[in-house]
Amino acid sequence: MANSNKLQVGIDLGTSRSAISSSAGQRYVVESYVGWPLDMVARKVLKRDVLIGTEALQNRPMLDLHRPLERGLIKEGSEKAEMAVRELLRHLVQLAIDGMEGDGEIDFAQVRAVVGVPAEALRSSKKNLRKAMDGLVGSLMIVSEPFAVAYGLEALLHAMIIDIGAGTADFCVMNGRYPTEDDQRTLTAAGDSIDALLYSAVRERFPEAAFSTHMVRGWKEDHSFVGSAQTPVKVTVPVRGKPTEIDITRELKVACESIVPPLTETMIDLISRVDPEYQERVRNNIVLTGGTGLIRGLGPALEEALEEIGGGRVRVIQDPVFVGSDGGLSIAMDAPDSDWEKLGVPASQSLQGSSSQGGGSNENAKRPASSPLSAASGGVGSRSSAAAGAPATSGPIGADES
Amino acid sequence: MTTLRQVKKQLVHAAVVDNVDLIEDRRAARARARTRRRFGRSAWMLGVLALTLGGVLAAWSLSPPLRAWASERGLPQVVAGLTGAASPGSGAPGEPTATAATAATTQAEPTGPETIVVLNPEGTSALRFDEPPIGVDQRTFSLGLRTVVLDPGHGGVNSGTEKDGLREKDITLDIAQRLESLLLLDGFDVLMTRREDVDVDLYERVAFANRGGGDLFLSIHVNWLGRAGGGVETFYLGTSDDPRIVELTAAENRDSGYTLKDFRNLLDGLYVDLRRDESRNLAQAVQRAMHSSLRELSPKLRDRGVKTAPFVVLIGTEMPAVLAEVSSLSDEEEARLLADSTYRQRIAEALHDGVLRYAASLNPSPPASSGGP
Repeated sequence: MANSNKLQVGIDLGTSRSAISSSAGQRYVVESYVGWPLDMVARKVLKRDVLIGTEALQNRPMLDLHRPLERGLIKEGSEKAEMAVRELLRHLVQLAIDGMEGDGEIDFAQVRAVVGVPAEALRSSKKNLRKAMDGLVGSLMIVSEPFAVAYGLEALLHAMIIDIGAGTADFCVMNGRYPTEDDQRTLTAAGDSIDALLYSAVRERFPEAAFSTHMVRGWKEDHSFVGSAQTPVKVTVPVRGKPTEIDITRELKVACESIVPPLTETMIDLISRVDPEYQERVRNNIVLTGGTGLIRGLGPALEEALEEIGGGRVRVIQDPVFVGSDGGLSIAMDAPDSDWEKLGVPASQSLQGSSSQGGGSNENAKRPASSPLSAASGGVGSRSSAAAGAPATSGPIGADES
Repeated sequence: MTTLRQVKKQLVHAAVVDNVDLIEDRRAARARARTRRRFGRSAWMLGVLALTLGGVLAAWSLSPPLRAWASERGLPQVVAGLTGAASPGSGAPGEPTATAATAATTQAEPTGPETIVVLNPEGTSALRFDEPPIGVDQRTFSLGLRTVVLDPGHGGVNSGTEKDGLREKDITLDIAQRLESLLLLDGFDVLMTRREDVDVDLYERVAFANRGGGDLFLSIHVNWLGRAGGGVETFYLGTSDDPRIVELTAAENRDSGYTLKDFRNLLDGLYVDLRRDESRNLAQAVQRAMHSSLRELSPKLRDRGVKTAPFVVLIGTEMPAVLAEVSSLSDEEEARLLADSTYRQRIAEALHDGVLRYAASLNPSPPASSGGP
């Protein structure tokens, strides 16, 4: 179905990290941070109008830094967030365009994008996203993120996708039909809620310790677990300026396990709504994905909860960075030209003056051509080969957090 | 036999249709708003029958002499008695109760296409399965929305529930005005049962909505749940055995001017009304939008669900009608949030989204092809 004059892309717009997979065989992931220099001095030092991803994080003292996505969607009521998410999307699409080799010139109007959003995203939120994409792509299709994952994994029948990122945990039951509202759920019990709880618990127990939310997120990404700890979790933080080792095993356990009850409750509730004839099949075909889904012991904890209703199997996707974007790309590739023509996006906003275009952010994980689609249709376990400075993908939460 | 490729094709097509609906909501709202409600032929005949019956009963029971007669007899106690007596054998509290007529209507709802499947050894992929039969389109009755009637609860001397200077009548008016702005931007005509801090009796609200030719009636209220905690809930017309809802109904129906006999006649007429099913769909859309949106600001917000109750404004109105309890002043957290304009704006946006979802459900999409390209 792919048109050679078009570039199809799948985008997983994540609260923490965003990924794009393109029909030209490239895949990129960037931290979902956007920053503008605070003043002329910062502008002079940074030599950029806007910085994105790891570069933005590394230079945050000089930046008006924004994490524009909240629970997988553009923060409402914030013009700066809207500008930031637009810069982020522009950056991702530009990376995909720049990654084309020998296929002739492609501009934004020739890009066809499928973007995943939380399962229960409001229509108004989807409209905001369409607005943010004006001029950045020629055509746009918005789908629920777990549907994109299911499509990519071909788990289309009697399967449940649980996609846990930073902002949301999305559930989707696939019955061989396009999922309706009744087939999907979105919870805010996800990576960010764990971070908040862990931060509070450590702050309460070690009031004199100095640490930031970024540090807390790192601890979680390196050591998260539910159930029994394999080894005590000890981290080093300054206490009155002196590096001090503290044991946060208990706090981390409590924070990570805080999401288990809402997850199991929602999982069982959705299963109970499936046609009784197929409930057992769904119970044995649950796919756990997303960065937060990699918490050690979470899959077995969900399986333990399934014992109450006859048992089941939870398959954990070990490399979820591109699962959503690859699924979106599969949808984009499968949609015929006649359908894409119905999904045009106005080119109402100027693309001039984009300082991020060709900005050469060297943070991006890049994958050789010809891999995305094969990964999309059976790429479970594939891993991105991160270039220097790329976001860590080896930690338990260090992957995609959509 | 359907192959995996065909399943994917159908899924992609459905995703495209979903997106086209989203686009057309934005681009064609005004055009859609110009479209008057259109009933299918058979539905039209049933609707005329039901509405005629309901209208005759309503006209008879709303006559001023009867209202005057009723006002002498202490209506609240009468209404409370009715809600308990009118639903013998009804289901659990909060569940829709149906007469034989409405049960027959709801049983006609289509179920999803059934598929027979052979899975691969891993049990993950559909390798082949029988052609799913084409289901009956749930939107057989093609409807359009033009005029939305907003009913901010209470007003004037009737403040509704209060806490720490926050009054239900002020909150509901504020939310309704915010919602009105959103709906006007979409091209809807909006009627407000009150725009100021005045007491409008329930009879007048109903008559105003009917006179104005509203296509949808949305009554906005703030709850008081005492120790039951907080939460959001949405009502459509029906009876209830739940003592809390009986009490709430009695409070909201106070001063309505309806008698027990009026209620019985109205209910008998309206339970065969097609609009009851539409009201339920509207209530579900509103409730889902409210809870999913507001819990972002209030993570512990309880979803109290869609329920039935015989509120006067739901009985007398001649269009799909719901009453939304948008939060509870008896809950500390929700009371704090209700004092914040950001939260009230979010409520208005959620109600707006619920109305749009309902409107979209009335706007049939092209049926998904099951075979050809």
